[in-house]
Amino acid sequence: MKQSQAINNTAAFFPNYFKKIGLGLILVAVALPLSVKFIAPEVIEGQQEFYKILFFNILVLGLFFVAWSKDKFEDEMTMQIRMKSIGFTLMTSVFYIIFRPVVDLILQDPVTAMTAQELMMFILFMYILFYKLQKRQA
Amino acid sequence: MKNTIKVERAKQNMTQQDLADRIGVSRQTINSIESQKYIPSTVLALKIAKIFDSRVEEIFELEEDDFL
Repeated sequence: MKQSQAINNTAAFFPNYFKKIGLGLILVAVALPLSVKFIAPEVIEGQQEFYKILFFNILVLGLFFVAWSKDKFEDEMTMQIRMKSIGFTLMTSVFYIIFRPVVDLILQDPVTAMTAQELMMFILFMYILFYKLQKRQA
Repeated sequence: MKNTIKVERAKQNMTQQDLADRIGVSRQTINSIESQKYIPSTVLALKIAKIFDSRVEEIFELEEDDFL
């Protein structure tokens, strides 16, 4: 099917096959640390912080590839859904940042600092979720 | 905004997929336009009108709540 030139020229998005690459990265970032932890925990002994950052970064990259790659068919409606999803995500992220410490306090947990990776994962995950939900409703 | 795409398609014995292929959008987009969940851009509205050999105003019609 021939797609609109304006949509095809949108260089901001990765090609569709990046979704598969992204899913692969997510799988690696989740499965590898778990298997290392249970099979050979001595490998990461003393370097937990380094590996934690490494795998979080791989997870963020995977989520980014999934979120920011084109669907099999992109048109003006999918672009509008993307814009709406970005808006919802921005709003949710602001509320998340404001209210998470409050929830920590209510649950009587110490208020912990939020890492950049944690926030970025939340943003990307919410964007993917909103996009999928809205596309299903369209 | 109301539209008569479904009627026009029926007159020409055209499926949603046929129309989608001819104007370069997905079948889901045509379905959303027909069920008034999505309002198409001017370019898309003009393309649809051209396919049915009509004017845009004959296909799309504003409703009372569009003026609110």
